Amino acid sequence: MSDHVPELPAYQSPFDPPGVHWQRVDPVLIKVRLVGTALAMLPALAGIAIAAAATGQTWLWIALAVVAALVVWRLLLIPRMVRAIGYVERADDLLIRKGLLFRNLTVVPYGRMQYVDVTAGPIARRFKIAAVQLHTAAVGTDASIPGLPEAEANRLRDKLASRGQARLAGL
Amino acid sequence: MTEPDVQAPEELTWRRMHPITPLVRGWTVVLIFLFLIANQTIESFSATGRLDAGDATGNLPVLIIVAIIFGVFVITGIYSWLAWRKMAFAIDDDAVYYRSGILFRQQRKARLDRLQAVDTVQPVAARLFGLCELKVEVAGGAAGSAVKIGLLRLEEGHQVRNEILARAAGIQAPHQSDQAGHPGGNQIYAEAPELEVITVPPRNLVGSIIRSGSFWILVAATAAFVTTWIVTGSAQFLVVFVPFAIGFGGYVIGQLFSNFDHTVASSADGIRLRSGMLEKRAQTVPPGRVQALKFTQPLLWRRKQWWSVTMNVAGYGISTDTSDQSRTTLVPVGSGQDAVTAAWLVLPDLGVEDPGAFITDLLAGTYAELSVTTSPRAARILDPWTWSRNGFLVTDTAVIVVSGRWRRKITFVPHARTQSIGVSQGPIERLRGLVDVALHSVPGPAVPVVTHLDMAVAAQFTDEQAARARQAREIVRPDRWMERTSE
Repeated sequence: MSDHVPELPAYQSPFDPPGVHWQRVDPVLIKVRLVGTALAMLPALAGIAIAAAATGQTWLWIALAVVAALVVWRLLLIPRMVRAIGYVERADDLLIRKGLLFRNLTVVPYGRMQYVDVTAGPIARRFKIAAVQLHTAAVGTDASIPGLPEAEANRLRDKLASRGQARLAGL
Repeated sequence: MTEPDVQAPEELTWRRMHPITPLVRGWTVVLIFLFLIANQTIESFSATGRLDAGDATGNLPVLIIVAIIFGVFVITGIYSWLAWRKMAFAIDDDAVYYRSGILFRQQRKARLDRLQAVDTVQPVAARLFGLCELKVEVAGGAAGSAVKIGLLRLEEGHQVRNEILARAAGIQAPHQSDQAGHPGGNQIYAEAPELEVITVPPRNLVGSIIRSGSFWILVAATAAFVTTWIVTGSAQFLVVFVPFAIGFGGYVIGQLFSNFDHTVASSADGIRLRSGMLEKRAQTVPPGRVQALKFTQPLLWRRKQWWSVTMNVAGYGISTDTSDQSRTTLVPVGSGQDAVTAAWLVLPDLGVEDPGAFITDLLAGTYAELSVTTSPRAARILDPWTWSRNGFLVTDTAVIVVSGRWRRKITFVPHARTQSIGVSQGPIERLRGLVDVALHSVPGPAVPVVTHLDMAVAAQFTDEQAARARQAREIVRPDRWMERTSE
């Protein structure tokens, strides 16, 4: 070993580990989530609107306005939230970062992965993206990467499964 | 993993359980049926005043009632005999197999290299007949996926448990390949000798229950009820009081009964726990299966310096069975010395020079001397009283998380048992530059979370912990703990 010890990177934020280059997910996820939210909230909005128009009471109109405002706020947030999702495969573990206001980072070691799922709902399948979900023995491990193109999702699943197998260390 | 509908290997010897197993397991159904019939009879009796009227109001004559009861017994008997014939279990070197079911065949398989714990339980009904039930917990199963080998005679139950533990440990059973056709059936497996290390005297148990919040809530509610009764002269608040008393009183009495005569022993099989007054329970947790350890001290126990020790074991935390609630209790109430012993049982190598003194200092709370990294002053606005009592400490083999000022908690997580790490931050924490770091572990009472850490400190901890966990995983002992690695 040489005498010159390389300077350790200064630790600043746990959400930006040193030497990590975050990979983004497919922006088509924005569309998928927008469509999903709209479809979910449409019946509620329509119901309140019909009730308000039929009975003409003021508080129903106010309720309609409030719910509509919440839905619009939610829809406006979606693009920013999707852009905040990042993941990176390191040598021994996988890092997943999510969230804007409530930020979240999960570090999942390959040797602890019990199994890996690839799931896609109907709207996601239409846009040809899928979510990769990792499971460890802990229930609280929220390690899912949504919005990956199908080929990439399958490649990631296979790579994680083989890395997990190689480093599998019991429970 | 327990996987339903698996094909068991062909050369297994299937063993039967005790014939009254389906009866004892299904007695509640019969009881409900009889209760319904009795209810109907009583109603008809109170309506007409006569038992034998078979008139147009739809009451059944007493003969038909007797015939129905007899029919119920006969049908139950036939069903239980058929069910008993179909129930069987088998053990080989790789797994425990269990099959049952008349119409819907069910087969379960529990792999022995994923064994987490083996319990022998004697519920009250089974204890009357001298029988016991075996529960085999394996990793990777959902709730209720434990293989339950139902009622065996007590001696046979212990034999089967010893055999499962011996095979899971990797002790090679001497194969009788020269004998024709009876592999393993006649082998007597000895119980590994054990050394009793912790006992809980009933006086301490009762004292600890008296010093619990639930007990005092119950006393206060009873006093309030009695006062209102005396003052108002009517017992109308009984309606409110009775469910309350049943809830809290049931919890208090349940704690007393299930932790009665609790002993902890150490053996080559692992940690042995025995407890129970009405329902006796003997648990065996093989070495290395405890995922996390937690010491708790409620405020009322501080004068007595008592601690309660609980643990996370894969498969124990997620059970929905009511009899499984106290399985994670390693020591329901113990002194500081008992806590030190419990830590030694679970973590023989704590990574410090003097584990006894180290743990005693932790219990005493002298965090500054131990150089525990606590929340920074910036966390004062979020944790005004506990900011200096929340923190973590890293030794060579474990992470220790401390929290709480009045209700104190100390959690140990071995490096080799860290599953994943989660870092989270809300908007207020972001303003103060704080994060929460959670060391994910299997479901159970120990939840190692360090709240409100400084961001730079948390970044360093997360990075270093990932590296330490990886190193610890590489030197972990094999799953079959008695296996000779040279062969």
